[in-house]
Amino acid sequence: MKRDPALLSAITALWLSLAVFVLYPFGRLLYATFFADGYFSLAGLMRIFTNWYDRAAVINSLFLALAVSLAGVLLGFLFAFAVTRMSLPRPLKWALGAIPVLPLISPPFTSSIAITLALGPNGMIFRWLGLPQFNIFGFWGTWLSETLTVFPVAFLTLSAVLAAIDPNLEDASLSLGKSRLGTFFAVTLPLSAPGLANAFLLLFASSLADFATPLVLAGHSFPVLPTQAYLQITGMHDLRSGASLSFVLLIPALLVYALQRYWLSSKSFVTITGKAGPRSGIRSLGAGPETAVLAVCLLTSVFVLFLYAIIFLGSLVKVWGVNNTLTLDHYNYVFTRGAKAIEDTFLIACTATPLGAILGTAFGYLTSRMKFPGSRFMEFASMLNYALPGTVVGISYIIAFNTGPVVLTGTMAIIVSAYVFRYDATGIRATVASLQQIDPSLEEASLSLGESAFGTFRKVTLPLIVPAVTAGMKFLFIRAMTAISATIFLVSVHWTLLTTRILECMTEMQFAQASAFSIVLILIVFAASGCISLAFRIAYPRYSR
Amino acid sequence: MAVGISLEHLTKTFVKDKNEFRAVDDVHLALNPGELVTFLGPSGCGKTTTLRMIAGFETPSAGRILFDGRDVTDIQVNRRDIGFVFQNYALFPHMTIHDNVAYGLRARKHPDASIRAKVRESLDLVGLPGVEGRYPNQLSGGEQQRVALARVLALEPQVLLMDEPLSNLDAKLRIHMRTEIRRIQKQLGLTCLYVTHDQKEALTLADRIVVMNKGRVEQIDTPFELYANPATLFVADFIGQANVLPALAADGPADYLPVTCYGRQYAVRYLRDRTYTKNGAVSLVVRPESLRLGAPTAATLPGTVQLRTFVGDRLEYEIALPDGKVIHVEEPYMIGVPVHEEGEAVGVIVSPADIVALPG
Repeated sequence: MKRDPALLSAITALWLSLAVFVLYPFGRLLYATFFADGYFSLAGLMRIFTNWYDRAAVINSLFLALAVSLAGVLLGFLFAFAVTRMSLPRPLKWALGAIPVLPLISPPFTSSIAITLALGPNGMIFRWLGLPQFNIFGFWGTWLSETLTVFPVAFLTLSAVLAAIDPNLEDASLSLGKSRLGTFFAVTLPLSAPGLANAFLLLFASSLADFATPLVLAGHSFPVLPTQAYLQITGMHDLRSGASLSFVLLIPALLVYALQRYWLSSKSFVTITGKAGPRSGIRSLGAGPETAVLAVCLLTSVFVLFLYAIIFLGSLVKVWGVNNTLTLDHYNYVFTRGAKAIEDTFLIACTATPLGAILGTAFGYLTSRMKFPGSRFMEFASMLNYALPGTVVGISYIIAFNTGPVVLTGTMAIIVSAYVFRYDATGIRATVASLQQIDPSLEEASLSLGESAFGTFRKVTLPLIVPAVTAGMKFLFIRAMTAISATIFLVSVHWTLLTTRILECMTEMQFAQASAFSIVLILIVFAASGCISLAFRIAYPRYSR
Repeated sequence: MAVGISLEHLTKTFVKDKNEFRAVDDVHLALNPGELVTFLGPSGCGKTTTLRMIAGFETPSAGRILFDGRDVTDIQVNRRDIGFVFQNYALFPHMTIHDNVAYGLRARKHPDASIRAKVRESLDLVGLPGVEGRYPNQLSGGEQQRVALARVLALEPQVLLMDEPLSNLDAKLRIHMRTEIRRIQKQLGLTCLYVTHDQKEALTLADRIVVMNKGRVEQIDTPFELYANPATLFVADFIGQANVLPALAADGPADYLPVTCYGRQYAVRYLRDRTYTKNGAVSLVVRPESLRLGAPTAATLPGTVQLRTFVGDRLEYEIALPDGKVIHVEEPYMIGVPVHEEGEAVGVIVSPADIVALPG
């Protein structure tokens, strides 16, 4: 195809945006880590390995990530198995599929707050059960809360993998004389191995990068890297140490990203047998093991629901565990003292979402449909901020935009751009995946009928990838409302966020207000993602059929 | 409105894993206005790439494309005024049939009223009146391909390009659509290029056939000439079935070529270039249906019936020659033609008029 001037300027604009908001901050972060006063120096990094507290943070982070991802993958696999491989009554199946999604769309503090209320000082569970008080702060609380927050990711990945395994393979094993349990260990489990590995990597990365949970639950006895970097910067105003700490955090994150890409590209997922024969009825494991799986899933579901109930009740009583009179005072507080945070967050999310949708669609379309020099690198760069832990992105943004040619500190733009370039990744992936399903001959047909390249994109391509764009927008909106790890470094007097307000409430022990903020946030997220779906359904009615 | 198309030394090279690969190699040909020409060849022979260059989907690495003498090589596909019909129909799934057929007219900013009339007219032309309100997935494969055709015809293009348009349809529908396409093309007098790998389709549809192999043109001729006078062994083998017999040629008079094949003498009429057949090895191409079986005599090729297959209207024999080479013979199943048994010694009667001599 001939060089199109419009295409050329679009590619230039995208490169420019990547250079400013992805590559430049990343470069400044590396510079701050490795250069002191203009000279190359490893002193910053060395200090982490000589200072016992920082060293503990490194070890704790890795240990916590390992423990969380093992538990999360196990829990996710049990849920996925129950939903895809066991014959359960429909409503139960639906509930087991829906409950794990709740933590995915909640602000990051939800389970931390609830666990503090339930298991912390004055916690109700220990009193109910008459157990001696147990200090939940530290490893155990962080582990429990993070596992509950991240296992849904494993559940979603693994149910797709399990659903794709042809039941005929299990039938074949049974017909060859294996027992049900033997079949599970000889056929089902090995076939899901690549999926399990992938889920493990995803969970490992998100636990490593998790900032909100340890901030609330880890305490001083259990330092981890993201919180340590945050405290260095906000507490000690030591940008260099923060940069060095986040660099240490960056290495395992990039490693996981590379491994995951390798796994996905070698396509070792067991998905296809090609022939869509009649699917036989679902074989169960046998009564004993099935009951065990179901019991674990139900207990977890009840516990998750219980945590949400606590948040809800906690936002409605005067003082949790002390004075249980019902009151709306906390909501009054949210809508008066917290009104600015709500407005700011909403405005920021509403700005970031359409921008991210446009950019994500453009990145996805150009990198997968147009062959131009550097398109592979553009794809890599467009996903970089998503692969990096939020803390790293946040720190690199303050380093980059505090001084130098582009100063954005304290503006709305710095928060919006952090969200856009970090969370349009889902939109990009969905766009690419959905473009791969669309035969290029549709676009060629449009061109051969006399339509211009832009008209073809608007009339043919865009309507066909609308579901992907919608999914990307929803994800971006939810993240813009609920994320904290990157943007906590970027908030200012002028622009504040709901999540940072929740954090302030937590540090001031205002649990009720924190709960009320969380409930309001969850409701806004629900309403807004409903609105996004509805808007697209009205704009492109063909998809509502 | 029909235009003539010239391809001048058209070449397309792709680079794959650092290896250059010539998908289309110096294709040079001219099509007359109103002519239906098929590009025929095995997969990977460059026929589709050639068509896509004429459409403007691919840019030639070298050479020119001319419409009525006007160079269109650098004109974008949406300005080239061609109609392209795809193998997989490529109907827009999110638009109704009306919107699909109206698509090109809207791109050309036709007024609404004339679009409506034009859409109806085109759908009538392809024999699908009244489907305007439906969506593509509510039509059968054959109907979808007719809509795709209507979508292109509505624009009254100068050139109609079709890329294996019938290969996704079942056999019966394919024959029906073949005649439909031919009828419409003649009725509108369109210059039409049609890519196929199905030789039957090419033979029945085309005014002329371009046989391609490994990016090069092997032969351009009418279906009759192509079948009776193949220019290369590839063409002989690709179109219909061919027996290839080794022979030695001797120098002879201007109007025929004496050859010796399995010790028998034949006087083969000259074809094309006579230099290659002088005093050297030649290959004789004979179609199975032009061979006859009889009792072994001094004038016939001696052979043994190895396999006999009855196919209703005819019998197909595999005959082993003395050196073990197997040739195919087809005889009609009718009164007066004797049926031979497997293992029987027979004489193969070759009529010199049916022999084509090729180099090597």
